[in-house]
Amino acid sequence: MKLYAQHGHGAGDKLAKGLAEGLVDGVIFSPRYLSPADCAAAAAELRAAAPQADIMIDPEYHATPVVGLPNAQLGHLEEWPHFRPVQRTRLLTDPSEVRRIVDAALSVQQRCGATVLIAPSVFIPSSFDSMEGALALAFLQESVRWGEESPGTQVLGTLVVHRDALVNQARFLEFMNGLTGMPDRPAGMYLVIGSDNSSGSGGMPPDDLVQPDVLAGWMYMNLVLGLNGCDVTNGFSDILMPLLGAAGAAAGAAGWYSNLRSFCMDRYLRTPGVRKAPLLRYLSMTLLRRIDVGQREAYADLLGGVSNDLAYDGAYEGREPDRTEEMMQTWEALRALNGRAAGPADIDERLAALGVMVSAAEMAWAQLGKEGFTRGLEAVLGYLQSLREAIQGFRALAEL
Amino acid sequence: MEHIPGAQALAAAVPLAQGLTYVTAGGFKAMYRAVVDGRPEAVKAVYLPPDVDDSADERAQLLARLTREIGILRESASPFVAKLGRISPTQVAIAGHQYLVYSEELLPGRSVREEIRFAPRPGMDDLRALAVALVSVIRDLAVGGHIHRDIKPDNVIRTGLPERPFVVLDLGIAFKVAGTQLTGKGGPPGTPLYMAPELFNPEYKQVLDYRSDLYSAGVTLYEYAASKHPLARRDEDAFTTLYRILRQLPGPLASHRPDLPPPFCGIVDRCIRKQPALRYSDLGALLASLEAIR
Repeated sequence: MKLYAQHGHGAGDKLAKGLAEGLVDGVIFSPRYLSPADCAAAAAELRAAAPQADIMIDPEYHATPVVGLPNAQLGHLEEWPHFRPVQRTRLLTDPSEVRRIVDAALSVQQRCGATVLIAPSVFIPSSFDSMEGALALAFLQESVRWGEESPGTQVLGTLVVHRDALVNQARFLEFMNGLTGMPDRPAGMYLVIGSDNSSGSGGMPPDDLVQPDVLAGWMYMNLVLGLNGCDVTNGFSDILMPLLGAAGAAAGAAGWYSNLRSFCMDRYLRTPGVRKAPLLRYLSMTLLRRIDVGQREAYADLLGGVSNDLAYDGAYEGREPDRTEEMMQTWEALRALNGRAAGPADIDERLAALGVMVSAAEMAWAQLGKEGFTRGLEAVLGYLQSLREAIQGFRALAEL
Repeated sequence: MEHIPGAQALAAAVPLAQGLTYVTAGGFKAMYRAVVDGRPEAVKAVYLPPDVDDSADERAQLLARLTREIGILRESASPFVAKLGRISPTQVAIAGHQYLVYSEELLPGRSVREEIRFAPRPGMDDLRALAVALVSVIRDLAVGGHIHRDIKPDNVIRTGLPERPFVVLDLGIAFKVAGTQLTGKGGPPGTPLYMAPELFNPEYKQVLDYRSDLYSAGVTLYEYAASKHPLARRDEDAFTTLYRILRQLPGPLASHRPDLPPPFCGIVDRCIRKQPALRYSDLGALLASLEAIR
């Protein structure tokens, strides 16, 4: 399973370092933070340093409904040629509009030096049985056509979906049946599942994303698309990556801020409130979540295995890491977790490995609870219970 | 079948068929053996029921569907499909009832149903040959935008011919007629054992595709290999069987046939998944996988 850097604000030297050290296999640039010219320069720089790296650009076309809103926060997006809002009804009734957007989005990525192209799409807000669901299929078909007419290019279709659409299971399964039965299917998919919260609490993913039926559905999408010859790259998947890898994902992506670890449409809107610098955190493979630096020190005295015993643990010994080291530690831990969960060839073995990881985390947290670390414990155990139920739910959906 | 025409009456209505003798009947169709232009052929008479509401349009649509499906047979180049005979589809009236009569080649051998009942369990060569034949037919139909929807052991003949060891009969015709019965005003499904789960949901028909046939092929292969239907149980009521088809997971084929190569068992198991998305969508790749199994 490949691991990609989800690019965003404040990249610094994280991408180059992650690629140079082999912690990530490539990068998914965000045009929101780069103009086309800057993106091309950044891509060229990375390719020179790491010729094997996959360079991708998320066209973020799904953000166009935000254009014109007084609190829109679109950064450089409106400088990109494909990023022009078009009414949904017009997209539905005039196929040439979809063609024009797909062509503009993929062509500019080619000019910027992307090695794998990501098709534009619309955001599916609440149900696959919707105008947006139909439009998403139209964009997929058009991206397949574009790829066929451009030999030598690798084009990922895109689905950007709100978690609610996965909860409406009958429509969700019907959509997946229809998608996998399309005569012209994409060979790869960029899949983003979003929620209503841009960040979780206490180093965990957002609560509304970590619901068993949502996670089981997300895993199921990875399974059926993979079974039907479509490799899935999961954007904004972070600590949920091992679940998706166990289900058959080809890749996942994670970045340094919480809005690069889980997806929310609110990321394109300015929200009131004072921004605080995020706490420095450590991703513990045993605990299956991030903990802050102080917790790491305290827990390590009581519980073996809180530390991952990987190279970047050193950045936390006796000092605080810098932001780049923190990111390297995350990628290093995610890579190791993915290896455990996605490594075995047999899906039953992968799910068993995942179950072992969740059990180990439950035992570790229970032990910490016994030692008196009860603050937030209920939420953590609830999160782990959701992961466990998600695995069961996935097994049922996958008919395993 | 209701109103099976007598051989003599049918022979009088279809003079091209010489020495016509009755063989069997089922559903809406009766089969006869005859010599046509000096060659033995299977003559088939499809009963056209009177319209429930006397709607001429409905009858015309039924006839059009039958004729279209026979046209598919005519156009099919697949060696695994029974070829049309010399009697073109003709509407005849016998004793006040209407029939559509046509002929197909007369194939040697017996049905897979009879093989399951009377022959020893098949080996890998036979199973691979059946799988390749079924998937090839489904793929060829899918290219033309068609689905068979009546693949079952009764509709496949084990011929013993090296170049076409298994041949599929009744290409679509039985479905088109029986489909009217199963989903019309007549009540619950009549023969659900080989129907994919999605066929029981009327809404689902909007997105039906060749993967429904793949399910039927998988059940046929499973039953041929294991001498046991993957879900139905002996003397079980229809609703329990229907529940199993819709909800219950079948045991893996390998549990009945541990002697078969695991990849083959895995393919059959995947063909009978309840969700079409979990079955195969690339039939070319599936054929290649089947042919690679030794």
